Amino acid sequence: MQATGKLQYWIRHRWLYIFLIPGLIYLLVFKYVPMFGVVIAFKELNLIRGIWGSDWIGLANFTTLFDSPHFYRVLRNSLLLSIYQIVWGFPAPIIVALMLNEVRQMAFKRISQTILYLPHFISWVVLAGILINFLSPSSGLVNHLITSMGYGPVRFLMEPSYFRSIIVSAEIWKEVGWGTIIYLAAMTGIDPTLYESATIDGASRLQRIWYITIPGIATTVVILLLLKLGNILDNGFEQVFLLYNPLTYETADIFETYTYRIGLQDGRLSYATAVGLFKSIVGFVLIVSANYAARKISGKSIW
Amino acid sequence: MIEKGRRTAGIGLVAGMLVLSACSGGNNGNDKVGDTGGAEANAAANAGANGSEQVSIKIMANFSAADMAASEKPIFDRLEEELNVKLEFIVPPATGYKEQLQLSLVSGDYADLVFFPSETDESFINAVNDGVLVPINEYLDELPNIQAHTYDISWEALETKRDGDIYGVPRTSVARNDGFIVREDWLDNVGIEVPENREVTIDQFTDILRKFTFDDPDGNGKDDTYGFGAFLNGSKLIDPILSSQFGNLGWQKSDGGEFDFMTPMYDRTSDVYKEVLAYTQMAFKEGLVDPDSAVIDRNTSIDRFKRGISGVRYEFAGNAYGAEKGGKELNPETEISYLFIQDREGELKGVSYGTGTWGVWGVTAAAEHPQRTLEVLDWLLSDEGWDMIKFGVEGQHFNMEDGQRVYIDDVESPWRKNIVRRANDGDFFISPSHPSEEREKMRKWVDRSIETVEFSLDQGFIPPASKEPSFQDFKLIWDETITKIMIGELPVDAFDDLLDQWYAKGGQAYVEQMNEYIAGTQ
Repeated sequence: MQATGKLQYWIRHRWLYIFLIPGLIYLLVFKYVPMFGVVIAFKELNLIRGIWGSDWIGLANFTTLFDSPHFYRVLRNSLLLSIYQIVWGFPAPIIVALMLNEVRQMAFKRISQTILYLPHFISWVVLAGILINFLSPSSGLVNHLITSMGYGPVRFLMEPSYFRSIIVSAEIWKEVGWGTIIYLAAMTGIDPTLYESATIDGASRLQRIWYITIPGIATTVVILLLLKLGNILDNGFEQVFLLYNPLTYETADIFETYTYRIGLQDGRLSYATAVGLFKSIVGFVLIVSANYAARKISGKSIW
Repeated sequence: MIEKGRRTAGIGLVAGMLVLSACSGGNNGNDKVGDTGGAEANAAANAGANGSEQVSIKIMANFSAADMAASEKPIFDRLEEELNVKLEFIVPPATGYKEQLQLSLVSGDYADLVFFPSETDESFINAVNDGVLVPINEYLDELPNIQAHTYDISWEALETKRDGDIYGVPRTSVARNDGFIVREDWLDNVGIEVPENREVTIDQFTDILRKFTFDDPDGNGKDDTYGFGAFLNGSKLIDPILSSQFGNLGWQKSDGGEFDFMTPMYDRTSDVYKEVLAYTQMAFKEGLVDPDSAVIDRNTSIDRFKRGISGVRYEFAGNAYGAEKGGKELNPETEISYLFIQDREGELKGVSYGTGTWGVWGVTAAAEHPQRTLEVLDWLLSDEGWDMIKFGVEGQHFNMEDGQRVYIDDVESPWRKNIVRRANDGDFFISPSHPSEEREKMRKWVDRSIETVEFSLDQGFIPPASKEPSFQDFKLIWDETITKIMIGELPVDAFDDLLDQWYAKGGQAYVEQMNEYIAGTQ
């Protein structure tokens, strides 16, 4: 009887499961199978003998990593950039989504959304070119304004102290609109009768946002924040690589640029894998702890 | 019911195809396989002009275009016919070539003939050490054209393990001492006359940079020009503006001191390299260099020169006419000429970049016919092949009129000029489509840059000490400090401390091993 029930369940929901297949195959082929490659981190990779035939070297690559004076600088830079990205970049789309949600003039809302989404489609290569021109000490618009006010030009992209702010601002500008989509979708799921009751009870617009909208999207916010924490050491390669230079290495050199140099430029693939594995372990520990903390504190979590 | 079943099967099929296409697309979505399609007759039935059986040769190459231009096809058709081979090209996107190369080596799925960016590139050294590339010594006797048109120094550089085995065929580059292209119209505007031989002293050069920066050379009444246009090279470093002019000629016999052979860069008893750094620092501090130089790449620097923001930049003489043509598109007044800078003794000499090579072709262990694979390169360097490589194909690139080649405008040739080159053929680099008067002018400059070249004694040798993690890690500090010195954020004397640290981080072993190597070659 139970078996018939299960069969009926599968028959009823077969399309949902069929549509899952491409996604599962994608995950399997591109995410799970390559995971076996992490053994390279514990081997001295020989191109002819391949991954399995190469000699084991134990934790030698990790010892080198932790002994490297660059490791702590790269770790600090990656963490700081991530914290900046979370502190400034994470709330930005929530605020914009809340504002968009309050717009009653539909035409204006749609036009605003389209304009806000557009930067997402600009590649980092193009955006880096725009930034370099924009911030140029000789011909850039920003310095033109600064010099017209009687000050000397500022070499924005050559000063380590400006680097993180430039990257985070550019990322917010590029992604803030795109980031609102998920929150706007969450807001449409809030029961409209709650707003109606609140209006009848005399709640102001701000009170409705505070007491209805924000609690309504809280689960989405927590889940996205947890996922973001899992990627705390992932800062994005392109934007940093395209904009950094030896003068800003002090604050700009992060794990992505470090692994690019040692792995793809210097050919130390085993060592680069060890660095990548270290990043993944940190991300894993963080996401598990944050999930646990979120469940304890707010009762909301990913699993 | 049948209809429903059909619909289910149809949707399932589409989903399956989507998955398959997604999987295969992710694998090599960016690669283009250019099948030359020439000599397409049945391989099995073919016995070519040389009586041998037809073989397929797979080549992984770095070209600016993924597909062969139609105009170049006759060259490869002729090659295939002559050697009775079928060529299959794998051409990843040029901007990601190095990454694709590393990935293909790790995957174990490599072509018969693979192009490497240089003989000192880690991918090449790893491929040699791990046995991916095979020695080619035994085939060289049968490759007369390759032998005839390659610098000796290049062969020595390709003895990667220093045991006599040669691990590749160089894509030869003319070894030369390049100078600078300069805005001739700006020189006229600021009243500077340059001698007929285009050689100036360091002081005269500095004077040009100053006048280009401060004397409004474009006459627009604005302070918006700079003398020199620098850029970040592939390693994200600014190259010093002048170097050999202060006596930096790479590894040479030492005048005494701890080591028999020394390069000014690592010489603790000489101030030559500090003078090199001091000159660039002076130029940055005085504002003679485009201030964007520390953040822009070469292409952007070229563009800023074209727009009239900078007036001098480092360039191969053969590109002068192209630079003038490009400049005229924005400003018809643009005139470009060339400058050589003499050293402090009034002589003109400089080290060539590298060892007369601009990339290496390696034969992999996967090649079933190494000899015939190498014959492809040899044929391209033969008189017949080279004529087509250098001048193009009649009817495609040019038409013959009164016994003269008249070139057809805007015919693309992204492949043919990037496979092989003949040593000392500077003419090759000057486009035959340029006006003959311009070609003549440029040929003089190119010849001068070839005759004034000096070779560093290291011959591209990479001491094993450079593979130590602490040495490799120190490179970043080296790059940071050198850049900060050059742009004036640190005093030139900071170099002394940097060099001491470098010796402590493995530099001592590096210099000792280099000395041992050079002594063995003398």
